[in-house]
Amino acid sequence: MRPLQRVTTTTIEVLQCIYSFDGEGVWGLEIAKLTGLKTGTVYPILERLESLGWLDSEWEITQDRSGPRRRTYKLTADASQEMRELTRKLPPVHQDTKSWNLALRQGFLG
Amino acid sequence: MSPILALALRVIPADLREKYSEIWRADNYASDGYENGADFKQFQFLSLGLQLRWQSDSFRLGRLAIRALIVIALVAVYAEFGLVRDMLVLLIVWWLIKRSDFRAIHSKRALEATGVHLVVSLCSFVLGLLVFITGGRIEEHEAHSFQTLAVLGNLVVALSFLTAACASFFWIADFVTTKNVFVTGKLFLVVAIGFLGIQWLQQARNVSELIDSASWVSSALAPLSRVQQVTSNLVLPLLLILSGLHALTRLRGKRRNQASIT
Repeated sequence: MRPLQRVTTTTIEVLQCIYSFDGEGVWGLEIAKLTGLKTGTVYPILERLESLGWLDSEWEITQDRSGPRRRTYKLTADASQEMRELTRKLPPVHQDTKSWNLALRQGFLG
Repeated sequence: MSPILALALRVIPADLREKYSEIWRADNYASDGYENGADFKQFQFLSLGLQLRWQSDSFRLGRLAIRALIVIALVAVYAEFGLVRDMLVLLIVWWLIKRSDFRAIHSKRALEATGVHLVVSLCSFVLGLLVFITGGRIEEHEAHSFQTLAVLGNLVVALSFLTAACASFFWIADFVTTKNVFVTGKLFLVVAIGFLGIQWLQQARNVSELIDSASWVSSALAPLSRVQQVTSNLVLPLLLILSGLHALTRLRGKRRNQASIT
């Protein structure tokens, strides 16, 4: 896993959102809906995080629904570990996006 | 397939085209329980394609070329338009103040004065231009109204001198009286605003010359032109040095923080 070179607030929001699914795969549109971001913003971030080794993605395999298959994303084991540590290091009261952003910029995850 | 969609697919890097084409289809599939039909519009898909292209490794040269073009365009605009130079300097000063945790005392007043000056300066320029254009082709019976316009122009120019002096004074007062900035930082900002003040005065003089080239204001402030030429060329390098120093200080602080965390 390579360190994040450019940590934007939206990157943190996407990471937090995926982390909240606790290892379960979540698809791009759902992340967009939960974070309130446009899909045109979310997918490039997902692509970047995946290329840096922070995310794994796979095509959804389910017989429950018809239609085109969806691409689901989840944190890699290393990224999950880093997110866990970051959550532990930041006091609960400071776990807003700004604090996460600051912590990431200060090199917690580098 | 619509032309926008075709373009979007063309823009997406070849190795990601199939993947995103399928993602797009899934996101638009109406019967999947999500109300997503309207969310993923074609223009958004095009925007996604552009962003994917921009961040792809194969587009490294393109990124470099576009960034170079933007820099060249900005330099050209900066060199060509005085107003852009003023705005840029103001923007850098504002940014520096914001980033420096500058516990400013008079900044609100200074900002207001700067805003008023920019408006007055623009009005005086418009009036000056009007006087200059109409001055050459007035009939005898229109002489009175022309004189009124010229007097009004001169009044606004005088006001512009005053507002420029006021704005510069407030900025300097703000920088001098602030408590938590080092002397070098204060000195830099005072010099930068001093230069900017000279530039503002020179612009007012230019408008005054436009209205009446033989006026005493133009001749009295003639040396200002030479001073302004020297100082305005120094404004940007000076502010770049200060920005660099500021960035360096922040980097050092960040490293210190990191060391204390680990």
